[in-house]
Amino acid sequence: MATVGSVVQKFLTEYGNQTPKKLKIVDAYLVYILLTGVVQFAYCCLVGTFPFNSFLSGFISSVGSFVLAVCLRIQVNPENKSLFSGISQERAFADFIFAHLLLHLVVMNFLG
Amino acid sequence: MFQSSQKVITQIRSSAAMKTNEGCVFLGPNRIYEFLDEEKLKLTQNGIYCQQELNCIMRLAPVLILLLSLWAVSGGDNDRKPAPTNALSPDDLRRIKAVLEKGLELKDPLLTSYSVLSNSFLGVETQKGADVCKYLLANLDSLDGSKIEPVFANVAAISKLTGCKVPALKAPVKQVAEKLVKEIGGASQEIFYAAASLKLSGTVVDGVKLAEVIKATIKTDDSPQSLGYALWATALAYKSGQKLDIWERIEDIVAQADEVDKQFLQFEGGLSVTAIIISGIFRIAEAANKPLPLTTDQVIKFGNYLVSRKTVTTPRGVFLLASALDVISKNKYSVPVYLGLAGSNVLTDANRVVTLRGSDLLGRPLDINVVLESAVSADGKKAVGVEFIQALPDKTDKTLFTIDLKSKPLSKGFFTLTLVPKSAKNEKNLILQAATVQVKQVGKLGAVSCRVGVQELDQQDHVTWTDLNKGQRLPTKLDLEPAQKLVVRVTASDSLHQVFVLLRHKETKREVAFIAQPETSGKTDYKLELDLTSNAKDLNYQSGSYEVVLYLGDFLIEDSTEWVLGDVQLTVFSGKPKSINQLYSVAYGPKPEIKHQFRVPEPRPPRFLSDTFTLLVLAPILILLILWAKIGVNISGFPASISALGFHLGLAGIFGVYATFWLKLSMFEALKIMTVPGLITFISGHRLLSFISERRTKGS
Repeated sequence: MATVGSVVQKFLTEYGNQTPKKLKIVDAYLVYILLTGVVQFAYCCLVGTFPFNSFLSGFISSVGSFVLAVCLRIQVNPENKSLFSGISQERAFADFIFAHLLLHLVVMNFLG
Repeated sequence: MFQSSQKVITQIRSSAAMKTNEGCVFLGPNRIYEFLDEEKLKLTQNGIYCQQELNCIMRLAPVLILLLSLWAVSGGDNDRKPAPTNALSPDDLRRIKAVLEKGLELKDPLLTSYSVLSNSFLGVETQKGADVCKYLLANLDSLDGSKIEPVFANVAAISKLTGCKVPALKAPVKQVAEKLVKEIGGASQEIFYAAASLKLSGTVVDGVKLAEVIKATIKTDDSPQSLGYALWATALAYKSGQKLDIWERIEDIVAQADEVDKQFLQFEGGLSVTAIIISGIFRIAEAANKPLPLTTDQVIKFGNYLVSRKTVTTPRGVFLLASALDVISKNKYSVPVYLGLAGSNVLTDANRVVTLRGSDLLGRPLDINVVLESAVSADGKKAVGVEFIQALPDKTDKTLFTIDLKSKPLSKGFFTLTLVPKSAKNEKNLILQAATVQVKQVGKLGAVSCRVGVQELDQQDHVTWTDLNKGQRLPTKLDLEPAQKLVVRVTASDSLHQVFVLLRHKETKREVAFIAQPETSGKTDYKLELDLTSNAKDLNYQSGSYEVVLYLGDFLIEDSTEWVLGDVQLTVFSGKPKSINQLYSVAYGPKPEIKHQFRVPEPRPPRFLSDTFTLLVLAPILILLILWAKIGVNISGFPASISALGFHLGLAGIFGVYATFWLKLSMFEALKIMTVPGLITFISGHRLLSFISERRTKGS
């Protein structure tokens, strides 16, 4: 029976070998966003939510960015090509940029 | 004198007065001044005073009802004959004289004329007659007859001045006047003025012709005023034996008068119309030598109304009033005789004299004797021995009569006196109507005794009594505890309207008055129980030495009494004195300023902590860069084209606008500015991405 360590090791090797570079870039971005969100949440737990609107806009920015990045990752994944046959990688990226601009307009408005 | 007077009054009202629903506080005469200034208390007779007059009247309702019922009992009922309610008193005549003096300043000829006329009716000699005569003659000379009233007033006034002769009217004036009395066209008022002017200036007026003109005039205007002047004018020019069509109209005119309270008769239009019609009716009856077409009751009622209007403020008003009252008081038919009280209505044992005024309506003496027929008390019983007493005429003032009841015993109470006038010379024209007046007999406070007791709260029947006779003080200072009651019992020989027990704190001078209630209804014993626990609030929870004062008073007692019972040491149940409710307290002066309070910001974390977290939030960027570097990111595929540059600069521009929007812009301004980088980004982005896409498909 494989230990947890070996499972993780295998997963990492598989990931390193089989995932395209573009997806790795997106994954790194996801990790970054996740960490940002975690730090904000930790601050909120430690100190409090005041000023609430600033906290909320920061946190929403993180969550929104994460969700958008995940969407981008799903769309550009070659394994999902059959699902998004009409959508090219560039189109997905353009959508990602546009959605980001909209999200951050709202975030800026809410930031106070 | 008493710093806490205000509070005392409040206390009296709240604790004592309201309990009995009386509201009027009676205190001995020597104490009244203490409250008068501060509370504007009204002092009424016999020392009853109240905070507000109205309040007092409301609360004295039982007394008023008593008086009203007296009135009803004494007067009988609905078919009571009307009697003159009033006549001009010396005070009224003085006031009227002041009104007339304005007219005699010789500033306005019309006012001067009416003042002179009024004086003649009131029987007063006009002062400086020669000057007034000269003034009026000069004025008469300047009149052109365009208005007839000034001519009449002037001529009439001149005719009343002694040593002043009415000259013949100037031709144009005379022409106007004669036209009025001979030709149809003028109002009946003008016809009267013209006829009077002509007659007084020595021109004979044709009565028959005038009657025809008047008959035509009152056909077009048959208002009471017009008819009144028509009557008066007809009377002026009446020639014996002439046809008197207007006589038939008198009954209709009188029927138009309004009756008020079965006491007054008046015409719509008030004093002037009523006065003119009354003058006209009496004068035409006398001129034609016919019986007066008015009943004696009607004469009295019209007279009552006229006298009630004695507060006129213009000389013309006085002229109308005086001329009408003069003709009512000086005629051969019906002359009302006024009988009424001239002095106080209070009879004391020392001074039991009723002063009466008997006169005609103008306040002039009449040749009458007055008899007191009976005195009836409030319960309808006739006073024994008080009947058919002749009133003595006053030696100096012939309108005054006195009835001395010194030898007649009267019990305390209200009495209705019935007075009957008799003509001394058997004059048939006097209306000898019985009159009633209300008087009250007051007396001394009878025997009073007082018991002061200390009662244990838990042993109701255990009371230590100290008996006091009138005027005595407590031999020892009583000492009471919260579990005890102070009991004050008063036994009097008469019923007393007001029995108060006043407690005055020795140090603070704070006073609290309590009302002793009748112990058994109908009896004359009164009791106050002061519970030092439940009444503690009334005493403001204030223990200490108190002076106990008993006040005894009644509206039928002349020597109301303040009786100091002595001192007591009270230990009052200690509760906190309640502060006055802000809602009910009256504060003068500005209230404290209300300052706007901004919301206090919530406490912020220490600067160090938030800075650390700012760095922590930014730290993942490093991780991102490291990860990307590990993955092997490069920009080798970056196309060297304008669209690539425009796309990235455009995006940077949009985020730049976002940053500015956050710092200072409004949403609309930001959106407007954003169109420029947005458009660039869109176009260049589209070109760049399609270029990359093409390159990728070619490559694959």
